[in-house]
Amino acid sequence: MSLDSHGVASVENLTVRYGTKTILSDFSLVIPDGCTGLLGPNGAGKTTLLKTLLGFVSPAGGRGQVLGLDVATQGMLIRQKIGLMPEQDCHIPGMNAVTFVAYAGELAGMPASQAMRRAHEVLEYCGLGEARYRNVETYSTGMKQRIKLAQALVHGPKLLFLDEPTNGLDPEGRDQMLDLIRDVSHGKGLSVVVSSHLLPDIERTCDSVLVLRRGELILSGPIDALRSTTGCTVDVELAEKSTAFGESITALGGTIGEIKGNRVRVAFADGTKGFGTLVFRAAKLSGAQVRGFAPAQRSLEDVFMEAIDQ
Amino acid sequence: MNLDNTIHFEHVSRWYGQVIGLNDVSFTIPKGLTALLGPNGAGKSTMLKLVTGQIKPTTGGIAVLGEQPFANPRVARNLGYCPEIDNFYEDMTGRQFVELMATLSGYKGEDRTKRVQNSIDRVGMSDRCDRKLGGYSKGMRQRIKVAQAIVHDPKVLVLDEPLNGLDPLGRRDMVNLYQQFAEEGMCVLISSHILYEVEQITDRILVMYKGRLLAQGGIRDIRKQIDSHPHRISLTTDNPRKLAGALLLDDTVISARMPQDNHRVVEVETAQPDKFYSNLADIILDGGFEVDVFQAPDNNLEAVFRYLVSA
Amino acid sequence: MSQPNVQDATVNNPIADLTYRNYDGPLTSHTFRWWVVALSVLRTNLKKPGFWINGALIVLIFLFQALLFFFSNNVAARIGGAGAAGDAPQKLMSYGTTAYQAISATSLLVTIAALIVGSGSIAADNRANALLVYLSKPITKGDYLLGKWMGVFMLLAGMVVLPTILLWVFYATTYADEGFFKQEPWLWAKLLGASLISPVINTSLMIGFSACTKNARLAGSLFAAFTFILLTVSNTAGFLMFRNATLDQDLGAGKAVVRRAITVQHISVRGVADGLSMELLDVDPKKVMAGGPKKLRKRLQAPYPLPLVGIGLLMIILPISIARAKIRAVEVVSG
Repeated sequence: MSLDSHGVASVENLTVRYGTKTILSDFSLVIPDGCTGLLGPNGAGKTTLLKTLLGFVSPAGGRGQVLGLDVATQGMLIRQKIGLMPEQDCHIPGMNAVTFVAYAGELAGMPASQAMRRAHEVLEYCGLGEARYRNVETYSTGMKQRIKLAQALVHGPKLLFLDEPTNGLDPEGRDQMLDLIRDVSHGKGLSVVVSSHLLPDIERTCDSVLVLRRGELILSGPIDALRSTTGCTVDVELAEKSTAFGESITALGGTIGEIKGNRVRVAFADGTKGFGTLVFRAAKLSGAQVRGFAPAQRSLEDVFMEAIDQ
Repeated sequence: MNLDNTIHFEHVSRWYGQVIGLNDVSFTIPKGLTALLGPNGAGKSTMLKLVTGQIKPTTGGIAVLGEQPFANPRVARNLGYCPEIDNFYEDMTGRQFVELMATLSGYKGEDRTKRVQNSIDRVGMSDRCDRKLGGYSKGMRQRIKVAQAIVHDPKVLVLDEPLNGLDPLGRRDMVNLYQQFAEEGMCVLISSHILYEVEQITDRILVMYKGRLLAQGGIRDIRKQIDSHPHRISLTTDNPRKLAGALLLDDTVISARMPQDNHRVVEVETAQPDKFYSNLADIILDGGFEVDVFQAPDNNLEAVFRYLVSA
Repeated sequence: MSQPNVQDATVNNPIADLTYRNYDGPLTSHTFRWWVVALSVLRTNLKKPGFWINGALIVLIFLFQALLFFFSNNVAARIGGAGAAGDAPQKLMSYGTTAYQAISATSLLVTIAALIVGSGSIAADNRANALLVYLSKPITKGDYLLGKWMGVFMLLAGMVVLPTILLWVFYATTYADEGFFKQEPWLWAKLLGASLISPVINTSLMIGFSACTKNARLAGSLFAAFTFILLTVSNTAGFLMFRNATLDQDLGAGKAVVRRAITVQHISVRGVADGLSMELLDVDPKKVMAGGPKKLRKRLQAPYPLPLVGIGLLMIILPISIARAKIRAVEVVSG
């Protein structure tokens, strides 16, 4: 029985209960191709959704599919085709990275010979060099995160779930992990779902987001679309705060919006052409130094907060 | 006891056998919010252990609130510490745990109950503090850790990765709380890897690298200092090649680059950013160029940090 | 679905793209997924020197018993003299009894082996959160438990069954002309059965304890404590009952009472294995049980087998159920 294949995974009118508590009620959602961010406050139902998609929870009502497989009856097959990078630290004791990842591959059904060579390939991709022959228990946080990713990729999943992938990483490690995620989710034949509380991470890697709150989907869509603002609004960064600049802008026909330190939001009338020139002219007139400007885009964090606060 | 609320390190070194933790580090942290940054293994945990008095320096002197902190109850009474590790007595409720910490600080009876309630309220756990710790989510555990760190009204607060596990709302609440503490006169030291957040919380940073103090001071000042490092600036316009030509005529510009993935962009490098920005307005206006986007992607803490640790 | 643009080096495109490529290769069937887990247990433990030392000691004990058998029967044959031509010479000890002695003597070693091999089997996984890795793969919690159990069992069984087979081979080759096959055609099956009781019970108990903690040493200590305490308590209680029953000089009455006492004495891991082996191998209890003064020795009997079967099954099923419950409680994703 194949369900309506919408996106790479989806749920329809899903109801999930834990004992007497109803976590999700008549809940529907589609996970599109590419890289999707899954956001929401703690307790919003992300965990329950993830568990359901992995086939661990039988829904009390509704249905769900992952890669065309039913979550209620084909859980094992689903886990064959997906990879999960859990949030918590986890490993198999007494192994080095190669044995661990190869073992994970065998658990996923790969023959031993394939699992071994694939483990090396995937570890290379995740940036683990000679360290792969050392016992996993000696690894730093960054390395542990990498092998968690490697064990999720080894069996060639078509859908990857990443739960807080940059947890505990220092800035360099975070950079590298985000680059890896961006790389693997574009053009490599698999889709990725990233669940994280760090919205700039999501901005950097994902194409679209799904925002949950209290068991409901309150926002979804491509990040660029959600972030765009209407009209001719520009965020200008000055070298220093300058009231004179504001006055010049007003004189040229614009309005000053939010001011955060040396960053000013400037709005022009809809359809104004050449607002760049206007900004520079205002700068020249007021003697302020412009250090940058770009069409106003709300940060994902602002979008999220707005959605949640309602 | 000098209640100047400062942390002061004077030529402090600490090594473990042959392994160096801190190498001749000196600085002063005044009242307010300071962020401690650095790659893993840079010496941040060593430094935090020294500040909280868990270990002694091998050489050099430390003064927290005017006294050296190792095994010093007078300092301990005025210092709050929220560690990164996540070990609790799982069978206690949140409230009981904070009460235990308050008792250890010497409070009893009515006073203790009020303090405990107060700190639980401040971290936003009033409705959930009577559940067992074993059932707490990561974010809730984090809040209780902060509650126990402030229950005794410390003058110095040390927080190690305090926003770990919190959802964006929680992060916003806690960040506001820390800023409040700083405004109330506490000396707050936060160690964090999340640079974009640190940028929003405070201007003052301390950067550790390989056991040495790499930079200290305001982010903007540090940025200005490394202005000698070429700035990259990217401009989006309809005729980037013509703009590139015009810009190259200016002697503050070192190079111009046409990226292959976006045909409306020109990227220039300048070694004298201040002068460049001043000249830019004229170049644009004189040439009649219509610029849609003008950005210096290196203008944030992440770029500063990357530059500092890779140099 | 996004199109992959990875490629191998070919004639038209000489430079390969060595970034991530997909795996669409062969997959094994799910039926034997537990075997992967079992194999991992085997691999980990075959590296331990303790395991091999233990195994060697078991082999030595069997060897000793075999030699004892050989030499004592030689002596008996010489003393007893040949009977009518073609008769099998008298044996001081029976085949079954010797085997029983060997199996009984090595029962402590099997318990120690269970400690070495099994204490960390699930406990170490609990500590490392390994189940999170297992459960995100297409493997059930049942497969996991079965794999662990089989891995430990195979190691323990191997240590005991191999020497037992060698003993049987020794019998078969040395005493074939004395009518070994005619006398004991099913000995091989009985030996196999008797030797496997201890591994099955030890494995189940150890797995049960291991599943309950995050600390391998704690699991081992609990298992050892349980085994030892049970052994001591049952031995003492059984002995006291035996003394009480045999205080009465009247040999006719109290046979059942005596048997009951001896059964109680056998309520332990070792006791169940011994008792049931005795039954399987048709061993005369008077020859193998330590009994004290001759008077009491005469009243020794084999324990009732049925209660021992019951206790044995309890010691197998209960810990496995506990382990299953503990494993089921693990959540792959927690908020």
